[in-house]
This record gives sequence, C-alpha cells and structure tokens, in this order.
Amino acid sequence: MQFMERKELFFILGLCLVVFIVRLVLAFLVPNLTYESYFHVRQVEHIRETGLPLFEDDLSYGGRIHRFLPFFHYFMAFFTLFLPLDLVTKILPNLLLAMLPFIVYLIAKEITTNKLAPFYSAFITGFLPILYTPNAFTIETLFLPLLFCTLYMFLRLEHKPYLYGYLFLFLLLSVTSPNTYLLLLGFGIYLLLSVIEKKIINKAEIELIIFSVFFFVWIQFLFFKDLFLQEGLAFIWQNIPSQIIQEYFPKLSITKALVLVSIIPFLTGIFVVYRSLFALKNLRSFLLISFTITTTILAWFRLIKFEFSLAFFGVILAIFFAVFYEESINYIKKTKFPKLQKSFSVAMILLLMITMIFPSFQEALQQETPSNEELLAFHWMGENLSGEGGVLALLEEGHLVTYLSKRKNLMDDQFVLIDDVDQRFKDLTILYTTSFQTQAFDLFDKYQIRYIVLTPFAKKKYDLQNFHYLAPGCFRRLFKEEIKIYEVTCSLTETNKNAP
Amino acid sequence: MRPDLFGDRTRIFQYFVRRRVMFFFLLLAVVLMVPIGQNIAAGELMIRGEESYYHLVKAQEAQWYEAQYLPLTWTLKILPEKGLIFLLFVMTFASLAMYFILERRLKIEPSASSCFLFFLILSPAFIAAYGTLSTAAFFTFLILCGFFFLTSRKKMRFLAILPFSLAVLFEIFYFMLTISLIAAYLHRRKERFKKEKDWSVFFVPLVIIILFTIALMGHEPPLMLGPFDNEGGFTNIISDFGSSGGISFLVLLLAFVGAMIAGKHPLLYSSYFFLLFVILAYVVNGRVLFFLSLLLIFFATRGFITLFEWRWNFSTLKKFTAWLLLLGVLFSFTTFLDRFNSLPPSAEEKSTLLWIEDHTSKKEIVFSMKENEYFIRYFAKRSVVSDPKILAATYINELFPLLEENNISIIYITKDMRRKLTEEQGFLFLLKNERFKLAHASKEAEVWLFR
Repeated sequence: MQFMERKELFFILGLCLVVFIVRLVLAFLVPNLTYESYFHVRQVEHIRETGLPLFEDDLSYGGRIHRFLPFFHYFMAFFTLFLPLDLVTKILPNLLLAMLPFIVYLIAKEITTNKLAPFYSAFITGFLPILYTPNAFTIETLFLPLLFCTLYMFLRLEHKPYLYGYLFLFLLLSVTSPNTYLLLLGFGIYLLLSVIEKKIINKAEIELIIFSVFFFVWIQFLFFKDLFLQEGLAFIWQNIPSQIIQEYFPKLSITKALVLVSIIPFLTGIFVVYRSLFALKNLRSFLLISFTITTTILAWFRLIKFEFSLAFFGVILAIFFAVFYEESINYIKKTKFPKLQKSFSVAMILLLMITMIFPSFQEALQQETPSNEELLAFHWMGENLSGEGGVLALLEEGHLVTYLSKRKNLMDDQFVLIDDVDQRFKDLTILYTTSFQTQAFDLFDKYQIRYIVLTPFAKKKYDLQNFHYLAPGCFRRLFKEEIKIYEVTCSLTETNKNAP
Repeated sequence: MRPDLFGDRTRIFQYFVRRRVMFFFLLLAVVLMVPIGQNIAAGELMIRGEESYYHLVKAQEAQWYEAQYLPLTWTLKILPEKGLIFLLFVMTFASLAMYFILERRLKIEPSASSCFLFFLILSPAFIAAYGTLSTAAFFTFLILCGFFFLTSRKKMRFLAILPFSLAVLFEIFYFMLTISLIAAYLHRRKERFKKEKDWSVFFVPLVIIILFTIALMGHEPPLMLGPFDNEGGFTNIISDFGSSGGISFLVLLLAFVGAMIAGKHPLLYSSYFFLLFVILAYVVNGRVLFFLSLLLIFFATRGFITLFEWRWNFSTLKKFTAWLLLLGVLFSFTTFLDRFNSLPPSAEEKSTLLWIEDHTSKKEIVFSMKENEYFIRYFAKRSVVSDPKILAATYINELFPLLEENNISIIYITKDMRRKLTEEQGFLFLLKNERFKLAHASKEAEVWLFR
C-alpha cells in the first residue's frame, strides 16, 4: 500500500480489530437482535430462499406491499451462502461498522498533514456512542461505511481509479438507502459555499455532482413511484403515525446530542467549523462543513430521523477532530512550551477514552431487544398454532409476529403505503387499554385477529398486568409462561368480512 | 444548430434536429393516440376530465358574448361526441405546425426548440391539457394563431385581432397574459417596426382591449376558471408526486439550473417577468399549472442546453446523464398516462347518468359532489346542487331540511365519493334511512332517490 506506511496500516487495522472485538462482545452480551432488525432478517432469508426481496408481503399489516431499496438485503444474503444467518446478522453489521474508523482515518489523512491526527478521528469513530447498537441488523450498518467511502473517493477525484470507485460506490449507495440524499444536499451546500467564497470548483466535481443528482433521483423514482404518488412531499415522514412521529423526528436536543456524539468531538467540531468557515476557508473543509450544515438544518426542521442524523453528524465531527488536533499541535509548537505536545496528546486520548467508552458501553447495553422468552413464545406460535387468524402484538413486536410466528400482524414499523396507519395505531392502543369487550371484539373482527399476545415489554409500555377485557369463554390461554398468549374464540359477527 | 451538444460523435441528436418536424409530428401523434387507444380498448370514454365537460355544458348554453365557445358549439352540432377527438387532433397538429412556422420566423435555434418540444410533448402537463378539452390548449392554439398572423406580411397582421380576441374572452388571466405576450413581442421587435415605419401593429393590443371591454358588458369573465382538479401548491407542480399535470421532478431540477443561468442572457429577462407573473397566478389558482409548466420547461431547456454544451471532462458521464434524463422524462410520462386514463367519468358512470336522464323527470334536482356537477349536467341533463353543508350533515334533522330546501330528489354517488367520505358516520351513513331508496347501482356509481 503506497498511500500508507506499514506501521500506520498496522495500527489502524489493529484499532479496527479492537473495535470489532468490542462490538462483538457487546453484541453477544445482549440477547438477540433489536426489534426492527427482524424485518431485515426476514427479507434476507426470503432472498436466500427465492432470490427476490419480499415486496408483496401477505403477513405484515395482514397483507401489504413493501417499498425499499434492496441492496443491503442482497449483500447480507450473499454471505448467508457461506455462514449461518444468525452469525451473519451479528458479525457482518459489526464488521462493517468496525471498518468505519479505517475510512474515517483515510478521510482525515486527506485533510490533515499530522500523522497522529487521523488516528484520533479513527478512535472517536470507533467508540462513538451513537453507533453502539451492536445488535442492530439495519441498513445503516452498511450505509454509513459506504457513504464515507464514497466521500473519500470524491475527495481524491483527481486520480482516475477513485473516479470509477466513486461511481461504483454511489451506485451502491443509491440502491442501499434513500438517505443518500444527505450526500447530495451536502454537495449542494458545498457548491453554494464555494461560490459565495469565490473558490474555483473542480469541473470534474461539478460533473459528478450533476450526474449523481440525476442518477439518484431517477433510481428513487423507480423504486418509490407508488410512495411518491400516494404521499406527495409527505413521503419524507414515511407515513409514520402522527401519534408517534415525535419518536422518529424529535425536537433537536443538544444535551442528547452531546451524550451520543460525545462532548469533546462536539466542542472541537464547533471550533473547527468556525475556523474553517471564517478563517481557513479551505475547499475540503467546506465539503465536510457542508455535511454538518445539511444534517443540522434537516434535524432542526425534523426532516431526518434524529438518530441517523446524529450518527452522520458524529462521524463528521470525528473527522474534524483531526483538524483540531493538528491545529492545536501546531499552536503548541509555536508557544514557549513545545514539549507540551506529548502531554496534550496523552491528555486528549485519556479524555476521549473517559468520555466515550463508558457511554458507548451504556448505549450498547441499553438496546431494546426482545428477551429469549419472548422469542420462544413467538416461535412457539409459529410452530403450534393453526388457522389463518392474525396476531395482536405491540408495534415493536410486529416483525416478530411475521418472522417467527409466520402470522399476520396488526402493525409493524414499516408504515410506508399503509392507508389507515393512524387508525390502526389508534386501534392497537385501544386493544391494549380498553376495558370494553364489545370494542375489543369489534376490532378483532375488523382486523381478523385470532390471537393476542402480552409480553413483559407490553406490560411495561401500557402499565398493565393483563388485558382488561378478558372473560372466560371468549379467551383461551394457550401459552402458560410469563408471556401470555390467548386465542379469541368469540366474535361479534359470524364471518369477518374485512381482511386486515 | 449546436453540433457539440452531445459531442461530435453523437450524430443521432443532430439527425433528429434536422428532421425534427417529421419527428415531432410523429411523437405528437403517438402521445395523443396512446391514451385514446387505451380508452377504446378498455371500452372507456375518450373525452375525460371535469374541465372537458364544463366546456361541453358551456358550449351547449353559449351566449353572444361567449364567442370563444362558438367553434365547440358548431362542432357539437356537426360531429357526434366521439368526433370531438378529431377537433382536438386538428387543433393540436395545427398548433405544432404554427409553432414550427413561428420558430422559423422568430429565428429560434432548432436544437433548443427541439429540446423544448421534446420536454413539452412528453410532459404530463401537455397530456393533461391536450388530451382533454381544456382552455389552456385552446388558448395556446389561439395565441399561436395570433402570432402567426402578427409575424406575417403587413396586410395579414390585423387578422391577429380575431384569435387574440377569442383567447382573452375565457378569463381575466388570459387577457392579462395575452396583452403581456403581445407587449413583449412588440418590445422585442420595435426596431423592425421602426425600420418598416409600420405603427399600425401597435393598434392590435388596443383593439383587443376595446373588444374585451365590450364583452365585459355582456358578462364579466372570472379571474380564472376552475380550479377543476388542481388545488395548487408546490407538490402539484411535480407530476411524480401525484399532480394532475405538471412536470417531471428531473425537468424541475433542470428548470432550476436554467433559471439560475438564464439571468446572464439579456434576451431572457422577460422570461423572469412571465415566471413571476405565472407563479403569482398559480398561487391564486392552481389551474394555471399548464402555463407554469410551459415556463418551467422553457427554463429546463435553457438548463439542458447549458449543461450539455459544456465540454465535460468525462464525456461518457455526460451522455449517461442525458440518457438518464431521457429515461426520467419517459418514466414520468408513462406513470402519468396510467393516472390520466382513470380521470372521470368512466363508462359506467356515464351509463348511470344516462339512466338518470331516461328514468327521472327533467324537473328533478340532483345532489352530488362539486366535481360531478358538469358530468351530471351534460349526460343526465339535470340541475345540480353541490352544497358542501349537505355532505357535512351528521344527523337526519340537519340533512333532510337541507335536501328539502333545495328540492333535491336524486342523489348521485360515485366510487370516488365513497372513498372520500366515511361510511361509518355522516352523509353515507345517513343514506341508511328509509326515506332514501337505491334506484340504480353499478360498480362505479349509485343513484339514490329521496322522497
């Protein structure tokens, strides 16, 4: 490798390995995957079995059409050819995120001359609390490394192989996540800043940006045609029920941001953005600043999912830390105490370790995952229940119903293209909280629900010990563990006409 | 012609530009025939859309001051209903022919003109306007006629008064637009008229203003007709977001690029005036979407030409980007066609309305949603009440007095109405009362009698 010395390579790969091992240990300490991961697991499994994603789903919402970009699922399905699915779901996402420090190291190396500075960026990325959901089998685990890899290629466009690399990676990004628009908006702000500052922009960059915009828009319209037609501009909010939209697009909270991206990168990032915008005016910094501006604006106007925006923001701040470190070292060199350089470096690493490692572990251990008992119960339903009826479970447990129980659910977190999503969410809440039997039976008939599940998670969420409307004769308990599974045996109508 | 638009080796574009007249007539024929062919194959009506039936009703009832409806009134007398398609075809092809004549007379660059026509003909806005009976299409035809005469030899110029006068009669917005267009043209050509010492041409707008004032004595036209089926708003400009016309998102992106660049071209300053004017009008009424689309396509053409005139470092990327644009435009167009063919009324709705005409008394009054008014008036030939208070009624003691006050005895309900209204409460729920009787029903529409 010509662009990196052997020693540097050894250290950075060593860091990635440490990050990978830490993530894996945490992943195996926490049982199972996060709730939303089971949707992706089901898609990967379907691709492995049929070669195609499950776009027409008979179980989710009682039957619906999914619209998503399938590259992540194909990518993971490929590895299931050699490894068991359980291992792929735990190892691969963590491996991908463990590679992120390496990519960040390369980017930081592009914008700084100090040899140590990029290592700090890599370290921050490796232990960024917001990225510590090692049990998440989600698109972001592939998207983030891909995104920053694409950005790195863009920074080195003057070399032809990087141009082709950019095109290839951008193509993959466009079929991985619609969040690729962040990159394009960042490019837009970058062009604007450059024009304002009267900087000469590389013509090749403009060409690539133009191509990327048209290509991305075209791909999104191909995949999400129905969604755009149905939702219009509201597609941004992904049809999330109004009652819970706050959870996905919450108000920007500085305190939460400080914890999740860590205080030191946050403060140094602000300093670097200020210096770059008003003092240094370096084109490459402009590019990275553009991404911070984009993410902040989008998060401020609640146009982007908060957690994702923080993850993206956190990595950018990690890159900025390299600039801060380099400037600080250069400044110390100019003072009367140049020997303080070493102390500064050690102090920094210690500070970073203290402020980052503990919150990261905390984040990992606080992940919301179903317990083994819950998994067993849902699996039991798939093995032992007969007939067509749907299952009432929490919104979060919706994918467990479809994946493990192989039954129709009332709701899950894939809201796109669902007509009556607000009503469904209201009805789901009613079914957990109402005391009226007729109301419950009416809804059971409406959504053709035959089985109801009460997990400890549901008990905690709705603060209840059992369903209030249970009555002998109409509900038969099937699963006699802590998790309660009942069969609904009564109905208000003879036949249920409306499918869920 | 700009030989370097797609690089020297891309001869296909140049070939099309050279043979553009033939190519665009063919493209136009295909674009117009596809929805008609699909409708014929599905046994559906060829004339769709609320606005079409508004004009058909108006043509049946036209007064002396509504001279703009005379061509349609006469056509309805000569041709059967299906023959209106023939009228649409003649008008559209004549518009294109006049466009090419004007292109030559006004020395519009062929490559830019070809790009403009390509984006325009394949835009949902075009299909929405020219696939139905719309004032936008007829107005454009009349304006092209007007400029055809205005740019002709001296003696012919005064003939422009006739089409321009007809064009302004529809609504006040058209009057303002026509006068602005003529003023912009005269301003651009003032040197030529000065040279020819021909000041008579300046009387054309004056005569139009006088004629419009006279027509105002008979009937004051609305500021804008409609809104029929477009409610305005930013997303309704983009057909990919479910608009009833508009342009593709990719074309809008190009228009944005074009609008940024056009400012450097002194000849294009007036285009900003028109853009501002039409945007303001669009804010007032979404029905001017066709003209807004037309302007955006104009800017998109500027953007397209500017982008692809550049000598790109990566020529393959340039061609690939152009190819993506082409695919994007085609994609939006085909997506829109599906929606366009589902415009009301359907054949079943028509037969239900004809049932009303055959089985009820002429004096009876029909209640339905506002958007069904002209279908009912045209096919069922009955008076219509579409008071929103009736739909808002939640109890029979609110609903019955309203129906009785308006002498409503027939209720016409379409599938679309059922989709929009909830069955569990309100108007549809109240239909379960014994005073309502289902008299006729099909998959798409129902007729209820109120006694």
